[in-house]
Amino acid sequence: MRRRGAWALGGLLALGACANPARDDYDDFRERTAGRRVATDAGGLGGSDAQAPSSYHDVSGRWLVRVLLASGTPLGLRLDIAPVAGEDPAEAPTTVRIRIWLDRQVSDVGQFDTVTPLKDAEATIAEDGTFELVAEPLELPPEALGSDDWVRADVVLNFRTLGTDEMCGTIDGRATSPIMLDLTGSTFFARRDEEAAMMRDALPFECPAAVGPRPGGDGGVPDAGSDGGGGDAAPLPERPAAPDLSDVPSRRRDISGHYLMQTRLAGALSLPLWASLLYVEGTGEGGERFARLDGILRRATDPVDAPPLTTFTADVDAEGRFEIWLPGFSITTNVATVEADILLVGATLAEGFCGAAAGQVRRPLMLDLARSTFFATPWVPGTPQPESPPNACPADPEPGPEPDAGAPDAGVDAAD
Amino acid sequence: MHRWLAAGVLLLGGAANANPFNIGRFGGLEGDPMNTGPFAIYWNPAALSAPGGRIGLHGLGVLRQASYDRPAEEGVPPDEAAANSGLSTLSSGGVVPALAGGYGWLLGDFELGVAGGVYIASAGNTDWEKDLAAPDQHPGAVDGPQRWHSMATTMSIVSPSLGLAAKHRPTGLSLGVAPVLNFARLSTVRARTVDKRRRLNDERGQLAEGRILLEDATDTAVTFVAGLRWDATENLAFAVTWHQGTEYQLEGDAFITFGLAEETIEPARINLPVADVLRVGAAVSPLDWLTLRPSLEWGRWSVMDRQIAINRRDKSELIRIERDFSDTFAFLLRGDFHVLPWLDLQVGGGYELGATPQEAHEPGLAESDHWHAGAGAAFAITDNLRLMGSFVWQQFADVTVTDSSQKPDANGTYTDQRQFFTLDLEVRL
Repeated sequence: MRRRGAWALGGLLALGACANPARDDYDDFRERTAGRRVATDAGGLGGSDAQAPSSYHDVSGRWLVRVLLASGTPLGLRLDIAPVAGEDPAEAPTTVRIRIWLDRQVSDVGQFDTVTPLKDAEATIAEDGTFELVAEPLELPPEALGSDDWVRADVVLNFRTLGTDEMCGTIDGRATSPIMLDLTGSTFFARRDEEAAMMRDALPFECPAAVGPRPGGDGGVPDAGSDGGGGDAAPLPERPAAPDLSDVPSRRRDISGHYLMQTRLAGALSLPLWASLLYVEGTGEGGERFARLDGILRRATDPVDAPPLTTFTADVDAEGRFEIWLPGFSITTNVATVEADILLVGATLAEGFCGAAAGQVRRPLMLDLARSTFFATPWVPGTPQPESPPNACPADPEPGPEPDAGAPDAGVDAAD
Repeated sequence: MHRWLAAGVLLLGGAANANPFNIGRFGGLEGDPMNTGPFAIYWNPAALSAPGGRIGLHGLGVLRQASYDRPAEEGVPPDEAAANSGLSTLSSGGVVPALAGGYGWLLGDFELGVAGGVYIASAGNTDWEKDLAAPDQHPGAVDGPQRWHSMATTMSIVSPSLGLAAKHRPTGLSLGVAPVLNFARLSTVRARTVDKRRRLNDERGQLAEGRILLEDATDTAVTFVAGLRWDATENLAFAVTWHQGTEYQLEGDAFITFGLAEETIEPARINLPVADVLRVGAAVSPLDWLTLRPSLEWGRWSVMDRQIAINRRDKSELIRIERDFSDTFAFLLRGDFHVLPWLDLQVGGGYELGATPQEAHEPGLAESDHWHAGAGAAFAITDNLRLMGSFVWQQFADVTVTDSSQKPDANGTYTDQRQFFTLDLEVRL
């Protein structure tokens, strides 16, 4: 009898020792996602901001900032930057006063003077255009992140100045309330917006040098070595020869905006995409002028706040031609998940852009993308798509207007 | 001691009798304000004064089947729709023991009794099944579309109690009181993002979905059960019982993982209101072989407005769950058929208006209107040994929610049904 009682007690104790399904489920999730944290640590959450060239420019004025926190939460801010008394913004280094609002707190230019900013701080811009904005603490209202309470954080925004109208960088620090949350790896991109008219979704969320097809996940192939040294990483696909668009007139201009990009793959398969582009011009560290497209591709049917299928950066030559290389591009349709390595070659038109593609579909079947074409027209995301849109460059396209003194081509940088 | 006793709680689901959380079915179909057995310490302490000694051993077995069917969101890519919609199911069982005993003395015109016991009257253990067909590019999806509200929850309130009763035999009036020391414990986990949206990936295409675990949150509270009984005649009696409610402030640690951010551990506290319950009953024997026991129950569940988990470090909110419970009302009827001197057959049923309004339904806790029906038997094995068994089916009304008050919303269709098996052994000393 005594032995039976001991067995019964032991059985109940054993049940008590392991009966916590809540802890089991939590640990199981962390175990399932541990590899994603390791891969991300190897590749960097926001890429390397050291790759983004920075040079000194007068950044006085009003800015829209798009932030992507390390927790995956987006955030929009508006900045007002002004030199402190006695400082000459044309000369570096210079100390500036920076006021910060949530983007939604300021919907017209008049509100910069009437709405109390979340933070008012100073920063010194170095000769290379970098500076740190220390916000300790920064208190965000509940609606900023959809939380139930005010969010308090001690953060440092590390700015790099890309040009007169663009900045970017990373964020260090941590949220302290309602939870302690390490914000290391958070990134941002800022664009001049004097009229407070832009929306944050029109911007990238990180320095353009870090933008590109993401390693792993849905949007790309793993970088060699991102698995921590294992020997089973797939080799990067070979970039195909670029299709010839020399007979398509092209003229460089600012093509920032949203486009419905109708593609025709291999001359047979139709695939509508939504392209969000940001055209950037600036001066590199060696003094050379550059122009670049930073872009996001989504499905044409995606909601306006959908995450991207892929992001990219492409140089734009003097004639407005560009090449976008997308190895490991992946898109899930109602029929199947398509994986492909695609090279898009584009020409800038008066309205939109067009071009041809090359590469290979790898899944669900092998398909050569020769004879693939595309045509992009300006479009408001979320609105009905035009019927029978073109999917290739027209036979006699118009190259667009000649640039004038106010266009991006004509020496926009006052520091030159 | 609490964890040892709670180890016996493996049952699934919330309310068994009236009221959310309540699983008290001591004595099977004899469990009501008219109960005169050892578990009168719970049902009505006024009956504890009966002369002589008694011990009761109780075992409850529960089976539960529930489902939550969430419709796909429009304008969402197919893989994300598959990760956040579809049918979640729950199917499992558990066992709960209890022990009680007492002794009464006859002192002239008065009876005096004392009693003690340990029972679990409130408990729940929800563990939704995995969705093995979920898209594997979203690692959180295997925990099911209900994960944003509930993945697994274990709650128990272990209640050691003492009882004291007195009866005035000439009038047939008796009263009793039972102080109860309650040990409450709660663990729960759900999916979560910083902004409480069903966000699977961030704009980098990387993991945004996370988890928040509140583990081993505990609290202790003293409550009372008080009862009155009037034995009007040999064939007619009335009784009323009041179970005092309380609000637990359960303290434990919250483990938080948001997307790819490092894990955070915060000291947390969550409130758990438990309602006052008033039970009124009668026992009438119109025939020698028949006793009818109607009863009414009212639970003041309107005290359950919302549950909020806060960070004890700075009192900021971690989790908010809208409840908006209503008071519950139930009508029950039991019948005892004294077919043989050593055998009673029992039948019973009832209907209760559920506590949860439609818009506040969520997969972690929701109680719609429900009915129950069952049958049992009591065997007098000897003059001093009695064995009782019962089976009850409890069926909740299906509920479809389209205007959820939860964040993120808990729209969808809910179903729930439970089966209860009891076995009681009473020993008269």
